[in-house]
Amino acid sequence: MVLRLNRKGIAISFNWIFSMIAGVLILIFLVYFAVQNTDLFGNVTSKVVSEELEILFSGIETIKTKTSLNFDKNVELRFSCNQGKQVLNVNGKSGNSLKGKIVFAPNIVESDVFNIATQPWNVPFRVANFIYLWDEGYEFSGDAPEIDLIEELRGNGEKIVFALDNNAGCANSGNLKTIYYTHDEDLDDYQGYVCFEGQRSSPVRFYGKAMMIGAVLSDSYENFECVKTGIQKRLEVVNDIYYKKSQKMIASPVDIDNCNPQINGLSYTDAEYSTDLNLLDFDNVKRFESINNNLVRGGCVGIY
Amino acid sequence: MTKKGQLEMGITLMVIIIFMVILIASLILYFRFTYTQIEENKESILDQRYNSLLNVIIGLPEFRCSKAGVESECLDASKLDGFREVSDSNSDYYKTIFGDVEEIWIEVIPENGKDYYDQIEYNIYGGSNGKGVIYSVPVSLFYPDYKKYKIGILKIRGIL
Repeated sequence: MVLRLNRKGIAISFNWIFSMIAGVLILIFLVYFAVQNTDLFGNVTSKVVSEELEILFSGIETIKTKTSLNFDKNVELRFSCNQGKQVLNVNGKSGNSLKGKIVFAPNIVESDVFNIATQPWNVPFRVANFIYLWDEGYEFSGDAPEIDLIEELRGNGEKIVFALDNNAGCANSGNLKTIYYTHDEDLDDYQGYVCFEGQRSSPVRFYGKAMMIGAVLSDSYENFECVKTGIQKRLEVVNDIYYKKSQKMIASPVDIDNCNPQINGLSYTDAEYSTDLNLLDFDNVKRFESINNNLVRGGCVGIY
Repeated sequence: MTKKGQLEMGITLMVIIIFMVILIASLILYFRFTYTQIEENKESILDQRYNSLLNVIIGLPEFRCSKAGVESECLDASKLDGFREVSDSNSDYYKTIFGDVEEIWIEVIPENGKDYYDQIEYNIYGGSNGKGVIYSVPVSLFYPDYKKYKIGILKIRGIL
């Protein structure tokens, strides 16, 4: 490539310069092609995982199911809370909103295979199906309730204590996460509270089997409260729909002749309901269920 | 410069020009191919997203019909009728659920009458600007007080 000061040397230099330019261009093109078609710095993987999870969550959020998701490579999912909304980060990238889906999962899960399950939350009408996502099981001690999904969650991971609710707050908890609960035979449902850091924490209330399972998977007070914010919003909007429906039924021109809603003094207008998640309890739910049953028995349209 | 030198310069220039032409042509071909692929991927992702949204809508307790908590494969027309008001007062919330769709509505075969039973369309969400691709699925509508069923078509207008 040495530039010689003879006439022939000019042509040799041009060939070298041309080879270099062509080489660089071809190299740039190949690098560009490779970047386009490979998982550059994991961006493609995180986008694919994010999309696949969104499609899966949308598909299962309306049914009761249990499945597993295999990505064939290690993936880290990080659930965080942004202004009361759950956000999902995949491999530390792209914070996606969960689009109104209620997902219970540990703050960080890392695996190539994830377990996913859903469970409806009824109060007594269905408000939503909660989605559960976990990688490793939990070691339960105490009075673990007999729920299929709780059995599915059994493993050798974090230790969690179950105990019957004695209204003593978190004072009697040890240092482990403790879930206190009461079971109602009629509703076949659960309510209670969670002490996330044993006796050092304040109790956090839950209502329903589905929320209790969620409490197992939530590994912090903040995580659980964030999901509860989403549940509270859904409870309000779904309750609003049922209220509107009951108003419509009162105004309906066809149902009144066949319907005697004033059985035991309960009618559509009594169907007021507490939408405060922290006040929701068995009595509240039973009262609403009783109103609905009376309406149906009286030949009226049920509210739910 | 000698004639031989000029000739070699000419050859070199020709080679550069031909090389550049081939390079530009292949780049154009490559980018056109990539662009078509991106467009196809985008279309398939949106297809998946909007079809899955149709399933989500059908499964939402806001619309689904039920008797004493037992749900069945239909949409409750009395809930649909009141939904617009609820979605308008919770627009931010439903925007997160429905995403970037332009409009969601249900068309019903018309019959004579005045009540909600005779409504020919339930506008669930958004408003029409006539743009976008329509995805639809047939649904069974239940009118609880009339105890009757009708066939409707759930439609969403998605952005492409």
